[in-house]
Amino acid sequence: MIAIRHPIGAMRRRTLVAGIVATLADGGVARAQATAPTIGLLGTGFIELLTVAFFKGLAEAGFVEGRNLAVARRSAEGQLERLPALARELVDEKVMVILASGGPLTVRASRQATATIPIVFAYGGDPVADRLVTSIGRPEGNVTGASFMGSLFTAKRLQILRQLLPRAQDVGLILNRKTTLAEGQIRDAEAAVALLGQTLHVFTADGGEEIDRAFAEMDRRKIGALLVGTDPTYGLVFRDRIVALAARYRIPALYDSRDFVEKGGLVSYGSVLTDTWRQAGLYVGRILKGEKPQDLPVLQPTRFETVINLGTARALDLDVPASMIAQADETIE
Amino acid sequence: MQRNGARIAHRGPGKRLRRGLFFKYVVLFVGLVTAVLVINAALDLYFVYRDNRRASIDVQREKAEAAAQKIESFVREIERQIGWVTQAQWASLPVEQRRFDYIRLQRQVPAITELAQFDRQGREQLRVSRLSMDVVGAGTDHSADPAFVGAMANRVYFGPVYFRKESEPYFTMAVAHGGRSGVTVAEVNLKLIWDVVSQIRIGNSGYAYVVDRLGRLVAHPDLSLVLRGTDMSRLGQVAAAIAPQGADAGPVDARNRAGIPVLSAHATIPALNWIVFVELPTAEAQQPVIGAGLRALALLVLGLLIAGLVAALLARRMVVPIRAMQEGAQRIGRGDLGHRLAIRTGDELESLADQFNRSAAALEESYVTLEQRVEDRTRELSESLEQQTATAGILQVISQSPTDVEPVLKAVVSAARRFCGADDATIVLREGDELALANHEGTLEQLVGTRLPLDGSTTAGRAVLEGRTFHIPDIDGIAPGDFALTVDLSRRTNVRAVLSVPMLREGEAIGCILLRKPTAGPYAARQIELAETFAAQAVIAIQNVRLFTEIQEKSRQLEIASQHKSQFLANMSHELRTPLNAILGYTEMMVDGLYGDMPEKAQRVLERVQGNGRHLLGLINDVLDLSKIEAGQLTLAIEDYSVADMVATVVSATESLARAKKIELRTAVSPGLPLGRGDARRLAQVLLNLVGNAIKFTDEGKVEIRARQDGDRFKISVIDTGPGIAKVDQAKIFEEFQQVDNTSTRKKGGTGLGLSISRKIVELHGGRIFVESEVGRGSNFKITIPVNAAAVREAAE
Repeated sequence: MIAIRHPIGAMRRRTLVAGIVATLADGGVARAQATAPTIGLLGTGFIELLTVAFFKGLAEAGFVEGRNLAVARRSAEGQLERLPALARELVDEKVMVILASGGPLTVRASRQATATIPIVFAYGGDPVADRLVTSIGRPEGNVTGASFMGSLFTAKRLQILRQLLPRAQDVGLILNRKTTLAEGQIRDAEAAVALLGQTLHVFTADGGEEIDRAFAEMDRRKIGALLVGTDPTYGLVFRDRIVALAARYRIPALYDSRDFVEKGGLVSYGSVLTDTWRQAGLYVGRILKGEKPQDLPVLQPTRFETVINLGTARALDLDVPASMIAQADETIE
Repeated sequence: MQRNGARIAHRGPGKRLRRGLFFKYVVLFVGLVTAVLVINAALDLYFVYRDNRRASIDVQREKAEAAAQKIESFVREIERQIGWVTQAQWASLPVEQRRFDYIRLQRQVPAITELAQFDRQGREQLRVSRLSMDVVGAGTDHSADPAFVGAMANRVYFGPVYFRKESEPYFTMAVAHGGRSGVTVAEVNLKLIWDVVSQIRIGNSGYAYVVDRLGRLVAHPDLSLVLRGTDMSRLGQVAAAIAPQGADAGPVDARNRAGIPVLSAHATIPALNWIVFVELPTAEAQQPVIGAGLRALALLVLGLLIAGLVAALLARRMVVPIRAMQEGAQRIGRGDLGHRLAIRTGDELESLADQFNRSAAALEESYVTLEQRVEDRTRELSESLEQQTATAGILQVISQSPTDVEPVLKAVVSAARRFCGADDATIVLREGDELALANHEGTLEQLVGTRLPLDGSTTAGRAVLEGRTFHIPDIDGIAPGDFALTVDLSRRTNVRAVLSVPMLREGEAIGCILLRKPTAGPYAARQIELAETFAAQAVIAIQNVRLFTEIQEKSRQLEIASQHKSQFLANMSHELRTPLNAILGYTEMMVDGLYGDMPEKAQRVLERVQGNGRHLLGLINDVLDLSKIEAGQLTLAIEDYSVADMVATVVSATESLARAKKIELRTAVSPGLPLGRGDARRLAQVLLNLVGNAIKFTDEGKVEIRARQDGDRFKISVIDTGPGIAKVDQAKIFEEFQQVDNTSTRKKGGTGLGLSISRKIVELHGGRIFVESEVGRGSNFKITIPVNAAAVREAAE
């Protein structure tokens, strides 16, 4: 990372006064605390894993909550209609940056509340397709961020699912239409199953009970393999419920991130979400230091991983092919 | 007060001067040291800078090469990994095996996003992607793809950099399978070079970055710059490097995107056609130079401090004696000539101070001499002035006392005693064969009137007899026998030195000044000279008094004589007139025949006796008049008169005469003249005299009488056409017994007293009479008299 270089005069001065500065360091911290900037966190929900990653990124940029940073948290807890009001609250609190976590809705709600406060998103869609930015490389306006692009790998996931469960003919896809990431995934899934020669069953559910009903329906339809679509409410709010339902109905399912698998999901394929949230934290830090959102290109995922929970596979009486195990980046017992 | 002011005025510039010298020394010294240090530091810095720059350049170049190698090895590592699936027989493996290999390869190399296998005809056999579904046996034709062509030709192909979704840098790498059995094409995400690039450490704050041949950023420690597709070709160093002829120009001074000066070096990766730049902020590259500069500065400051101290010490050593000298000079300048400098520095300053002291001593000496001279001269001058004043005082006494010699002699003895250094001054005057003491002032008791014999027994006697000064500095030095009386007197009166100065009148001494004092010793030449001057003044005074007395006596005698003469003339005239009247009376009676008829002859003689008698009577009357006037006995009988009547009376008295000589007699009297007041008879006498004269001296032509008033005066003129009177004679004719002396006047006769009497009468009236005439042009006698002569006279009296 390139740092802003000191001009010669400042360097010399720094050399000369280094000792003095050292003795004043404590005072400097105290002062930073007094003028600590506030950032706002707006999300459909928060999970500790990603929040930790976000603050790790902030810490890399030099900001630590409670030391030189104040944080205002606003979580909709899955109730998306609450988002605009929460965004306004953050604006009213005069936060300096808003982290819009979990889906385009948080970004849109924030953008409606302010056109000036920088908004950094962290989610799993295509920000261009979702019209959050005009360009990945050169975002415009006050919005930028990081995406793990989870919604873009539907075909790849269906292929892996097929590889893992070659005999499953009816493939389910569960999605939340309200978070706006659903349409693209359904389209991609339809194209993929056509190639793979399978039957797609799409279930949409935007709340806990609907998810329950969807799983009951899957059970009724004898769905052999399930793809859990990329969705902020699923990932951040209903993760454990979905994993538990899949186990209850003994439906082998593929998720978009490893934390589902760690909680008992069968398999996941996708980029590393913590990377995305860490990068978002880094961006928030850079903006706090004075950089402009339009100078910060949207960050895309670099690392992709396949994680298989062999324990879950055994529980499902599933024989995981050796090739599958070989190509998995990680297997969990 | 004034002294104070002078000191302040002195001290002001003095202080400044002192400071000036001190500072000059200090500044010179410090300046020299500074110059040496600065030159030294500058040279040092220059060499440090040059060496440092050369070293930095070398290091940069090496770093660039190393960075290029690292990046190339990153790519070569990918190539090597791909090589793992490119054995000749690999293509013939079952598809699942190949797919598995590709997946493994992807796991091995995270940068590879997608892998594709083309057979030898360029048809796609397998495609494995991280992002999308794997495709088996698609069979699409890629035989024209540069990747396929390039790899088939050169075994390895590196494609140009491209940006996915305008953001992520990618490049295509293709490796031919063994035996040309196909090609594996990999899409490599260059974002992962970031790990390599960001680990390249260039000094403290230097960095490396990679651009492609178009100048687009491929890798940079700030990934966001790469993702934004930053075009670096705007930077000078990049533009130069990507230029077609862009040789490895080595490091250049440039600026980075933030505009900060950097030392930039680059190296190309020929296989990839990329250029790796290594840049270090110039400030950091020159850190050693800056350090050296700071050290030099510190040294300079230290040097200046030491130089300042040393200079101040040296300057003090120099300035203190100079200050002492200056102070000494000031004290001497203020008149303290006895002041001496005490400087013991043992160098030129000490010798200068010694020289200064010698000068001061010489100055002091000459000052004392000069003072003495001035004093002497002043005393002389004041003495001289006093003597002059005394001389002038005597002259004043002489002028104030023209009749009495006593005050003059008093003043002379007083002055002589005072100025000639005598205790006693005496004036003795010659009186026959004796000397009489005329005046005296001094210690000796002498009585005025004391007499001494006029002989050689006294210095005074000798001085008077011989007319020269006798100077006896010491009575005891006189040869025995000489000046016996003087010696005797001096012994008695305790006198030791005597000076006798004669008072000379036309070479003859009339007395002498005698100066005496009780101590022996000569009188100064100047004193003797002065005594002689006083003697001369005394002579003048005596002479003056004598002359004055004589003149007074003479004029008194003259006055008496004149009175006698007038008295005599008056008496004489009276006495002459009485018998003459008797003669004339009898003669007239005889002519009238009271004593019987007379023979013709006797008759004529009688008539002539009568005529001469009358003339004599007129003459006597005139003389009587004149003498009365002279004796102050003529008084005017003031009364009112008419000028016109007076003129008419005169005309009637002279008409017959004029007619007899055939001369025209005319009158021109202004009408309305006022009555005058005066002695009408006397005035008529004057006019008659003038008209008579005019007719008498005019042989032909006319005589005119004019009368007019001019202010409070009458102006009366008698104009004739006679012979005229020469200028020289015009004044004389109004004197007694004066006539113009020529034949024609003698022929006319007359007493010559008429005009004289006329003038006196007119003057008694307060008027004036004068004549205007030229020879041959006739005469014009003019009288002016006050209309009221009585008033004028009273005013005059």
